[in-house]
Amino acid sequence: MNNILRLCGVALCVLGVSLQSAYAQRTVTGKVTDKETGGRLAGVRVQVKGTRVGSVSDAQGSYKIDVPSDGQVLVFTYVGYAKKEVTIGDQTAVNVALEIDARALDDVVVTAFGVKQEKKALGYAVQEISAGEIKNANTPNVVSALQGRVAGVTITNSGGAVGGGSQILIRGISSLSPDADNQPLFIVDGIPISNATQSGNVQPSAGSNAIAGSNEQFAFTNRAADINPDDIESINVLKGPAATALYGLRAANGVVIITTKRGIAGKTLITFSSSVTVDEVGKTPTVQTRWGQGGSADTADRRTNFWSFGLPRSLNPNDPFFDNYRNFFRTGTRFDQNLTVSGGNTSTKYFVSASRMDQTGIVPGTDFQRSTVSLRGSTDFDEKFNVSTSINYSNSGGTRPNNGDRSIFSALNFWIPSYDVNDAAIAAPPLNQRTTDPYQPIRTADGRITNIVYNDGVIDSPLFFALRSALRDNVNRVFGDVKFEYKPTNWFTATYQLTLDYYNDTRRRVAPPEVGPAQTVNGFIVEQSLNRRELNSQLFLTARESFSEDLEGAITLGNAITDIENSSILARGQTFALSGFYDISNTAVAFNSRDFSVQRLIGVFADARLTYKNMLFLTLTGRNDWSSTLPVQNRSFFYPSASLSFAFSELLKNDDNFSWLSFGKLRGSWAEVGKDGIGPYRIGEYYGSVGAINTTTGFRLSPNAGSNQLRPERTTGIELGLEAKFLDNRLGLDVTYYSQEVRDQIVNLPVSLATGYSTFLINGGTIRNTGVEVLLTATPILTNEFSWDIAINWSQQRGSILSINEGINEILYLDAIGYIISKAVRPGSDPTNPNPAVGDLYGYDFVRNAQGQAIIQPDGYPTVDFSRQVKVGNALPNWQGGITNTFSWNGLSLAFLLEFRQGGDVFDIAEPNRYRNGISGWTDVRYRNIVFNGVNTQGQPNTTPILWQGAAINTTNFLFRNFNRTINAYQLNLQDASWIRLRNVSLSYNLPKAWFGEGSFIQGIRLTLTGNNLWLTTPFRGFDPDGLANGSGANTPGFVGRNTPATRNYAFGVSLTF
Amino acid sequence: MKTFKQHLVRGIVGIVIARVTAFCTVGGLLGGAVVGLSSCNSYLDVNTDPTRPSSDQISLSALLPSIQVFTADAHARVSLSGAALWSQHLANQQSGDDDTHNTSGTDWNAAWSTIYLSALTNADRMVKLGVTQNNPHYQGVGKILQAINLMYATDIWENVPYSQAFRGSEVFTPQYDNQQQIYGTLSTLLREAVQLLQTPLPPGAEPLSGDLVYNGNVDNWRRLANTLLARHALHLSAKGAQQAGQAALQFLQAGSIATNAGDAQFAYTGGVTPFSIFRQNANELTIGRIFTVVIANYIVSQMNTINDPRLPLIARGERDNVLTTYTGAINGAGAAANGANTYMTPSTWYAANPVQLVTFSEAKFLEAEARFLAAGGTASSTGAPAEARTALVDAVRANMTKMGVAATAIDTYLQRIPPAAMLKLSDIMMEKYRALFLHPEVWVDMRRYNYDVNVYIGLQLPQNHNPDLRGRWIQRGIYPQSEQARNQTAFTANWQSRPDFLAEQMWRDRR
Repeated sequence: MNNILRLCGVALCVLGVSLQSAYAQRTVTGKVTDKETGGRLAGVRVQVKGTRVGSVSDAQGSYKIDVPSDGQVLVFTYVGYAKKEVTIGDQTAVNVALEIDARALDDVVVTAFGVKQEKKALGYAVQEISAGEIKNANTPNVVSALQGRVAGVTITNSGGAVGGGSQILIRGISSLSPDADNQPLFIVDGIPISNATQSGNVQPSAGSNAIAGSNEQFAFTNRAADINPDDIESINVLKGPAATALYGLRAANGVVIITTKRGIAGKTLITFSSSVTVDEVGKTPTVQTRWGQGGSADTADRRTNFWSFGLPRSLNPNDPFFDNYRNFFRTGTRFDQNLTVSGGNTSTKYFVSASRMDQTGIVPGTDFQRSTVSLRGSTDFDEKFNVSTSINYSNSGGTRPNNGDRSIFSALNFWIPSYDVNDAAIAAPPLNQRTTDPYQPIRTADGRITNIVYNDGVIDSPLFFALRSALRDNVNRVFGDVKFEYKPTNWFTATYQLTLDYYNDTRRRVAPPEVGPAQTVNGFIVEQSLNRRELNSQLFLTARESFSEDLEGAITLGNAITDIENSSILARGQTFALSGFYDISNTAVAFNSRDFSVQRLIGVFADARLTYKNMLFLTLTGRNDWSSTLPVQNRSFFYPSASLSFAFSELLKNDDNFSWLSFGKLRGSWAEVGKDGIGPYRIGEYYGSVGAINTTTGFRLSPNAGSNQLRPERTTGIELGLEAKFLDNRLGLDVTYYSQEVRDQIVNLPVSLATGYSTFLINGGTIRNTGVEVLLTATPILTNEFSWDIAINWSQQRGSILSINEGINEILYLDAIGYIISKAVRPGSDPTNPNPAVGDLYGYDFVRNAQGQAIIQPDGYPTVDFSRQVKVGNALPNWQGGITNTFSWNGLSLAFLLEFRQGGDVFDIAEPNRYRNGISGWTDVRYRNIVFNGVNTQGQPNTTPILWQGAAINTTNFLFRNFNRTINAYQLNLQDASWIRLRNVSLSYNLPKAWFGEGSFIQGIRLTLTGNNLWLTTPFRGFDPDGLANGSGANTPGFVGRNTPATRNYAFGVSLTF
Repeated sequence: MKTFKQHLVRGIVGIVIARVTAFCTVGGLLGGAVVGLSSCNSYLDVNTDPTRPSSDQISLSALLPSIQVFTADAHARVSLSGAALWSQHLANQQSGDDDTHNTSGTDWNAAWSTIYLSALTNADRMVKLGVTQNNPHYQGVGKILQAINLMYATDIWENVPYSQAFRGSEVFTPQYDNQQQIYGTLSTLLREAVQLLQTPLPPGAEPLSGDLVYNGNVDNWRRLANTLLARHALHLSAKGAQQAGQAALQFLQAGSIATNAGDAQFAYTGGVTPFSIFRQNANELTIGRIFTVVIANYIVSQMNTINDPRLPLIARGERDNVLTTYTGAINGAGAAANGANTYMTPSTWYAANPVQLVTFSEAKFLEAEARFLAAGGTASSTGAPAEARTALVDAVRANMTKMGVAATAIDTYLQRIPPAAMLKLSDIMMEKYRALFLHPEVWVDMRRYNYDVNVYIGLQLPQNHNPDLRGRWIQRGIYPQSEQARNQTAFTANWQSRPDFLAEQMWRDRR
């Protein structure tokens, strides 16, 4: 292979030299180095001032330029460094050392395929997050570290479970498909890595958790969390299609480019950092404290079921109050240790890091660990040939709490506040020793916990569930690359990179016979082994050229091949024979299954960039993809993009009238991106095994099938932006408007089961996302000792449904939960929703007359109209934003991030049981005479109050339990989840260097105090609304609850540099 | 100065190198094979799932056992989702639950899914494959299984999809056939099944295998079809009792299920039936108290009164203990109201035995009713042909024998059956009510006679009865919530405005 590269290189050398020599007058050579480190700088532009003659330094920092006879001065420019001019005189060798320009460094961003570009040159928005900000965030998951910091990016956690996943959406939901993953592509140092949240197969279980593919049960990790946040130098978020066009179909939802720390030549650095974090449960639901256990306020019998509709507590001293929503959780801890060693000489650089994190969760019995090791190095074989490689290993996993229906968190809503949820020890008594009293104290005489509290088999003890029915996972992951860079001449570079990402995830879940979901089968155990392997081959050939002094150009041609293999083996056993011994060998009934898939992708692309007078920048790209997952006739597709940046301040820089303007730029782009939108084996139909049936095995038609005529999705977008800096860069503004349309949406359409399928994959419709993103920066105070910086980001986004294809009524996202439904309807088809949008929520209203007044029955109650669902809200926020204030005084720095989310309706899945059982704070009003607004059956205004009847609760006639009259109505269930929160506070102090003395072994000590989620205000009644009910891989915003609630945390860290 | 052409040359050279190098290197690195441009297609031809068979690979005998287990599932789903509660075989443990004639779309998702997505879809595929492979026996068995499941569907929801169903992407939103059409379809399916099962197997066609109900016995299947035709005929008794009785008799005489050994029943893996909804623990004394249902007072009090020897077989205490006194739960009142103690524990008969789909006993009950009606009997008339009484005695004896009641106890019990001249319809239907415990057919029978207290002696509305029904009996289930969301137009067209929808008689039951 090297031979091939070399041959090609030689061929180009010959060509290049022959083209250039005709113009040479005299030749100047030299080396370009970094002034501080002495490291050689490759890719430095060398230009003869006043001419269009130019050259670029090679991997060794060497350059050669043919200077015309009238050339006097060489100009050296390099991204991130201060420009330098050197008079040639009689020299034939000019060596220069460039200095880093701190301010210029801010203006450099990493774009597609790791190409560092001046921000000025970009025709689209890119936002960078620095290592410092990631450090401040102090989250173990790199995705949640971005929360509140990037305009147009929505991060939602799956709650506060240790190791739980976080979801990232860039510019909203781009797909109508209920099972679409709208998350961006993750690239670490050019290595595409998986950020999948694999729900695997968690069946069997009970309730909605028994639905195949249900991922609400365990908050599985999004796999980007395998990255050690401490290794990260910067994160660049590429948002629109123009920014991501080169990456092709996998980048249709944006790209998150992570650049890791590297060794620096001549500087051996050792850093060690350690921190300890304390977690506690954040916001908890409000609970009524006034009424005790029982079914009726008028009877003395408090032992009525799991309801808190009993006597006032004041009348019954035996009815104490426990806030179980808070008491159930314990204090979690997290210990992080990081060690990095980096350094190198002029030709070889290295970086080694190791980290370890140990975490215990707020849910009893849960924990999470992660260890990572990274090695990165690069070496120059000769002046033209550089090889770099990296290898990253991580091991992570833990004990995960059970979420969702029939779990710890559904049981908690049946827990009467009259009992202490923690009044329990660990072991259940043998089943035959249990009493039949359903209201026994949960601690037995010998202090052991029982799992029978209210109703055996349905309502579990949350503590017993947490301690006895968790899932353990263990993930081993390796990703790395080998990269060859060859620069046969100063205008041409060939880069080849081969990357690997592999992980194995083994999971083991035990459900002992005592817990509700396992009772009917007398316990079960699930063992699953998931494997994913991705190989990427990427080749780039880049040629640069100066056409004149004012006009420069570069063209990149590339080829990328992706090969992904997924496999999993599942073994499930049920009915334990030997009591108390939980192993698959101890099960009477076995179920086995296997999944395997291969997915391949070939892309060829070109990127041409033209720069005029360092002021106008034009980029054109084109890419063709071939995807193995689409029907053969439709698997090849081409898409182009164009973007333009105009740095208009260049025109005004010598005009004194505009001295207040430090920088100004207009940008615009148009792009199209194709997308296959589906994984392998989704088209056509198959049969699947039913498993063992008595003495044989049967097959059935797989309920999920797909069209053989499927076409790739097309995203077409425009983006316009204005960037300006004022008053010597003390004030900055960056505004972006975008509009992108996704046509031929590939939709996994839920269809009537009478069709023979449950879902069918087709091209389903068009949506358009439009939005505005604003970044505002200011430095109100800047002195030598003290500075105050403000950074504000704000964004607004709306996804309109433009059309839904013929033959489809509507596209259902989530119908597993009866109260509130998430779906997309065809424009014009629903009078309650004239402008359908992505994230629309539907529900049931009361029966109303033609005037829209609710009709109140003679008993004073309305009736829920089950004949139709009406639009009741939208799950996506109207706007969101964050404000970061940073104060620095000598070595002391204080930063705090306020995060805002305005609008966004949610249904708290856990809440109905909370009010049905009389626990919710707002059920306090239970015995007041309520008169419903509306008209009676004669059309007269309703005056009939609903009254407490003075008898045991008649459940067909009771506000908080009647499905047909009240509790299915959306009015009781839909909530506003707006919030303002103090997301992050960080105080750090760099000990003065003078304290260590000159030449000390210790170079620096930094102390940090951080806090997350310290304050939250929201109208939402439940736990913190920042928690996805269905885990981080699901496309169902608007549903929260029944997962581990979000936490509040405090951390102390110390970092040492040697 | 370099010309544009020269730049272009560089570009083209670049493209050529990009492709050649990429494919050579990647090919070499990925698998040792050279993946050139020409082999690009075969590199991408990997979109066939190796873990699932395709339509070309599926066989008749691989589909049959699945359809059979789905049919048994459907039977249990229909029973537990409503039929057994509203026929007052079972009562809810909590007051004010479904047995007060409250029901919602979510209650019926599972039954609809089992019937349509699981049973009927695969039966449809099996019949079509039977046609392709020219296999009359699989076609016949398939049609019987289609009929059983379609009958469950129309018995719950009246109008249901069929003529436009199972067409995949051709029709995403199938319209519903009205019940009269469905009853025509049922008749056609069953008559065709009888014909097909009498057709000799062509050479090379696969004999029935994978048959977990009759182990390949084609004659048993034919008898089952005739029994179902008789059931079908009597379902229409409200449209003309005498004709219904005569038609049913014809089918029964054409060869129906003739012995207990000919029962269509389904035994689950490991004996865990859907009616066994309790914990089973091999090592410890089993206890279990199902959250939602208890055996209802209506049947328990009857059995108490007549000292029915089957009562200890179907009911036990909550810790699987044998009871000395049996108290069923009053529907709508909740189990606690009268201290109900009758549970379906794992060792009770219906939890521990195969699911009884269509039995010899039912065939004899059908015969007894058919003869009673054919002779002009009505809900309030007295007296029947002697053959009606004989059939009734045979029906009860078959059921008790199967449940393992001692012969002497059976004889003692049978003495309570009045002589033919004194026989009333209620004698037949009440015996059937007790013998077909948990069977969805019982709820059909009750609706055919519109919950007539002359037929179902002492039957009372549940307590806390759903006020929306204004004192009337429930006549149907609700279309599943999944249909409302996924097939809204058809759903709305077949939804009559609440609250009368639930209480409105189906076409079948209207006189």
